[in-house]
Amino acid sequence: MNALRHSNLNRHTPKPRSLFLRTGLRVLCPAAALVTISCTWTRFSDLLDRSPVQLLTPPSDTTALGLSVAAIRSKSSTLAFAVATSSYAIYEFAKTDLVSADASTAGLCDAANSCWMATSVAAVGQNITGAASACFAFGLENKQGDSPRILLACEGNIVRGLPLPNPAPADLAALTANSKAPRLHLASGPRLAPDLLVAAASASGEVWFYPTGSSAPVSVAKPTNTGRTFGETVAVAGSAATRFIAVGEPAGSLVYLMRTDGVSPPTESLCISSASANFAAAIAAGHYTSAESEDLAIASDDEIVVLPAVDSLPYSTDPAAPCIALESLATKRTLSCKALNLGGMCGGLFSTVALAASDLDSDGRDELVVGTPSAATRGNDAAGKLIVTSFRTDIPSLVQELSPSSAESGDRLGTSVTGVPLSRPEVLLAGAPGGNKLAAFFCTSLLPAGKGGARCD
Amino acid sequence: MRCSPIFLGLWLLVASTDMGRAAAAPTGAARGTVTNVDSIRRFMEKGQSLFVAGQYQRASEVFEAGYELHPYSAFLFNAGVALEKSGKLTDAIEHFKKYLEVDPKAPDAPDVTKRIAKVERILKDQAEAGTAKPSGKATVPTPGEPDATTKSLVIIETEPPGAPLRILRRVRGESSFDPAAENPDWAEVLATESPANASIDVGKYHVLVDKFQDFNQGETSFEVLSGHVLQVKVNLAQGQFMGHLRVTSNVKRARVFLDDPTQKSEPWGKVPFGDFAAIGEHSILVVATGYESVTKSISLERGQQQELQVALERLSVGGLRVSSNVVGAAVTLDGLPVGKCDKLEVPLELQQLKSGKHRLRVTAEGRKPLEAEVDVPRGQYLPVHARLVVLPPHGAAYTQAIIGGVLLGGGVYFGLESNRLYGELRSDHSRGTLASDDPRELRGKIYSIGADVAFLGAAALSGLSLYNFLHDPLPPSRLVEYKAVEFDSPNRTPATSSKREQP
Repeated sequence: MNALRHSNLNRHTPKPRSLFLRTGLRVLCPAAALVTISCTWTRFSDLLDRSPVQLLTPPSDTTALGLSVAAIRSKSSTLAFAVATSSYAIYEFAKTDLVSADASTAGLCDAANSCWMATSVAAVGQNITGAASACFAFGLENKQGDSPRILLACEGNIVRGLPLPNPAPADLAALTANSKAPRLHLASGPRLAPDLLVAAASASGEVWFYPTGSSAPVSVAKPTNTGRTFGETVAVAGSAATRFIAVGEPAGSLVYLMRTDGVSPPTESLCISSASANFAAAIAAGHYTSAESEDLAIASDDEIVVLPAVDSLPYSTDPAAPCIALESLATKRTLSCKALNLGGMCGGLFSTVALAASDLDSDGRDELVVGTPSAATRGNDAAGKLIVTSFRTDIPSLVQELSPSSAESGDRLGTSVTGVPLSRPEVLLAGAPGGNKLAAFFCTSLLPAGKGGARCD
Repeated sequence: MRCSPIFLGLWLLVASTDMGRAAAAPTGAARGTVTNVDSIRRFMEKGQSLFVAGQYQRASEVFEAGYELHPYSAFLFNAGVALEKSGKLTDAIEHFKKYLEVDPKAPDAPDVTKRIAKVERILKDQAEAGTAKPSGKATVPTPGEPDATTKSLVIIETEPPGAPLRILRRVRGESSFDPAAENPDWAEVLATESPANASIDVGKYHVLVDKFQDFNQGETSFEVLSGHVLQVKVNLAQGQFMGHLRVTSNVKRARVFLDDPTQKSEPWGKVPFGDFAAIGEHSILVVATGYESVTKSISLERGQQQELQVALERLSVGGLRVSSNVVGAAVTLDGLPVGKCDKLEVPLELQQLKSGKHRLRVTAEGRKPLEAEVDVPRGQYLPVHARLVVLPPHGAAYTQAIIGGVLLGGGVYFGLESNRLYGELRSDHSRGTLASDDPRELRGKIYSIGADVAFLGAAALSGLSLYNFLHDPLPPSRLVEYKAVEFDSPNRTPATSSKREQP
């Protein structure tokens, strides 16, 4: 090249040899670059080894992994629980990343063993029920001769049991080896420090909870005139020493909020009705707004509504008080399906959504993550995806859509979703039971610079 | 040798000589030409050497064999002497008698008759005494003993033939023969006509050729040793005075024309050649193929023997005979097409070429062209043979180049696909959606490795192809030069001997 430059400076006619050299370099350099680049097949491994979406390895013989997920921080690590058909798996996270993509613990829970998995599972803190470690309430055991009980999988591969109210809900007490899984919904709260576990048997409409440090169930009085889907969704929100139990009745588009001190049965309640179909199809408590107490996100077929500061709602001590209309709540924040600009996928889209609160940017406020398993992704029908929304301001907004690059039709990603609290911005864990997959999303567009680690560079 | 007034040539032939004449029936002393002198001499000298060595029986067998092939009486006599010495007196008597039968005019016939009688007496005495020597036992000859010597064969010829001649033998004393004196020590042993041969004893002899037609008298002396073959030739001079001219040249067999500048007649002779010629001025033309003809003028005086040495020089032009192993090979000389090698066995003949360096090029389709410098000799043809080697096959190189090109294209495609997939994965990574089980990783790796393999294969095949394009496993075409041949040599592809090759 020096020779060429010299030649040009002196305005000499390039000699044939120089021309040959120049032409050769012009041809060879791109070819060499192409070769150099394409030769590094290890770059794919380098990229995939630190992929922002980590697919967790399902235990062998597991099907439909990710029907429900939950996560909780324990003393030494963060644990994530995933429900599959008649089995479960627990994955362990270190401070910033997975310890391993393989499950640290896996267990069976099938009717043959008088065990039935719950429809939704809940993480249980150490101070709940006197358990010595972090646990996950995941199912129901009803062995012959024993009283039925709620099962908890705890750290150290320990399984514990919590008794049902007496008398036990009829649908649960009647379970036999041939019975299908009951509609048992479990929830805990507040989100980051759950100290209250709520269980709802939607078939019988029974709701009860376990106070902090007690394994004795406390029954929640059933409101009058509840419908057949009462208890289909349930959540726990917190505000100082007060806890709010939210019980949804999607068929009636109703949500019942009950205030309790966490020990005694609720003394105040509030019924909220909505004109939207399937209102309360999903409920999730979290700090979505700047309110002191937790907020409540409720999904219907057409929209998602966040009720800021559940403790500020107009509760009544009259169990027969009429329901108030959602529209009358001035503080509510609504994000319609149309506003999400999902390309005409609204209209029943949210009927099967999952909601989760997760602080993805470490600002102390949660983002509302919507799991939409029916959504098409990358041309794959029902591959599903996660929609990250923000309700921090009065006008909610769509932040980001997330789906793994390996999405396939029928994965139904977003059937379940939860935030995994790590020492860094939270990681989203979403189940795709259609593909027997469990995906951990480590990176979002909300992630502060330098906070994402190698996976988000 | 005497030259005046008669020039006489005498050769005592020891080496082989081809007389080139028809043979007459040989006898003891007969007129006729003699052929196969070498063969006669071999038998005679071999028998004589065995005789001298005391191997009489074998000597007699050789002499008898010589007689079978060449029925000269000297063989019979010598065989008889050898048999007598070996003690086979009866056989000896038979041979002596037969000697007299075939050569009744032998000069020593009376002596042989006496010898027969003598041997018969000995034989009779032995029979009476019963002490006959056992057959086959040799007796060593005593030097100087007359009975112990064998006869020699003398062949006498004249030019022209048919001349009357006499052979005289010195019978006593040491005097030389003087044709003008009485010569009492000399006795005539044979009178006949030439050509003649005679079986004679050892001794000094003199030949007198009488006047014959218009030829003058001739004479010469010679000595005969035991068991030899002598050939005496006497050239007779005519009445006029002549000289003798001998022509030599640096070119063997060059033709000599005497006073025939246009070469209308047969050549006078071929060098080296000598003969009598009339005295006076003569024009000598010496001609040889491939040489410049030379004409010399000489003046020959009476009785003079003159030798003319003629140096011939090669012509300034020469020729080429170009053959090839490929029929139809085109030949160009100094850049000009001069013909084709149409037949394998008949070279292309290029004549009248200026001697010296020429650039020869021989080409044929599918063969490596041959270009070489040839040195055309003076006055000769230079036979050359062009061995054209087939062009190296480039099929493999083309195949490798094509496959290499395909691999290169495949490598580029794979590389681009690999890069495209990597770009997609990078984009997904940036969006935070890249999954750890993304199937494009495997495809990208396969494309990448495929690109590598393809590039490597392309590079290897390209290198191999280049090598095969440049590499020539076959030797170059070669020109084989043979020894230069004369113009009149047959035009055919020469044998492979005496060749020298040049690339």
